[in-house]
Amino acid sequence: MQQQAVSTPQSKPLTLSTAIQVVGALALGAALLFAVGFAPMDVAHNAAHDARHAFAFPCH
Amino acid sequence: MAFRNILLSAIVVGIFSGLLYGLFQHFQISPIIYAAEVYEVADEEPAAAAPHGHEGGVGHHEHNEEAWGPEDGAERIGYTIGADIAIGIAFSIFLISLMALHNLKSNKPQVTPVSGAAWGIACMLVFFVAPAMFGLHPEVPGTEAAILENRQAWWLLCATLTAVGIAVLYYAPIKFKLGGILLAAAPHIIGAPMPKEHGFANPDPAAIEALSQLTTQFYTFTAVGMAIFFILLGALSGFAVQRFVKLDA
Repeated sequence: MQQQAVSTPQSKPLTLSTAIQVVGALALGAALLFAVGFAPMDVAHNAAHDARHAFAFPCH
Repeated sequence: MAFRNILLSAIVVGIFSGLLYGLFQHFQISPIIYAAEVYEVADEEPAAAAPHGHEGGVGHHEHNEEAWGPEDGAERIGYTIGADIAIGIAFSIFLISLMALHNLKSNKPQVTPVSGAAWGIACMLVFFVAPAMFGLHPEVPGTEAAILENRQAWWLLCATLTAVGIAVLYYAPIKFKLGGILLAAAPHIIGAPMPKEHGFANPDPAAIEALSQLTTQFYTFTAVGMAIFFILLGALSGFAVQRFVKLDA
């Protein structure tokens, strides 16, 4: 098992980059949710119509 | 690689829970949608007559005949289940990312499948209970509602403030916790955009009677389905973050 070494200088940028990766993943999730659940284009609406209703997203 | 692990885990969790909800929807929710669509009136009629609502169609989304849509039957069911899975993946990305951030930064206990189920319930508060049950109720097709863009904006505001509110309630020191409740309450104090007259686009009394009953059924089944979906989503996300999301590698 790796020893916890939070105070060493080289562990700091690693933690930062993990946080950035987490934020990147959150942004991707938001984009996916928008595309499926909220995008106004007719094609996106029609394809996901029943799912939008079933998740009670605002529709029509 | 946190990003890759989060994404791969979320895809697997989203497929499981989205597929389950898709099947639930196929048997319990879609039949209600199809039944309500029988009473849908053509969009041109209310636009031409314009007795109320819709404010001359400004910013209102019109369905036009030429736009592509899946054929009724297998194609439509397939797209619906696919969309359920995609939404499941999106919600799971949110949960697993935030769980990973929690495990990385918080002094509170690390997430397990059991506490993950509680995260799932919090996720349901954010995405269903607050915006839908307390605001814009689940609706069958053919229900009169306020302008779509306003409802979407309120939905987003409500979900965001509920999420921030829950986070403040959970993480902030005791003296700030009241702020979390105020944040979550704010969108409901502002109030969800509602149509001037609540009702259905179809003026026929028999249709209104039928649609009212369908709305009640729809409300019940979406609430039950959402509860199952979010608890499973949370528990699986908790399991995934415990097993597969390595933050210190």
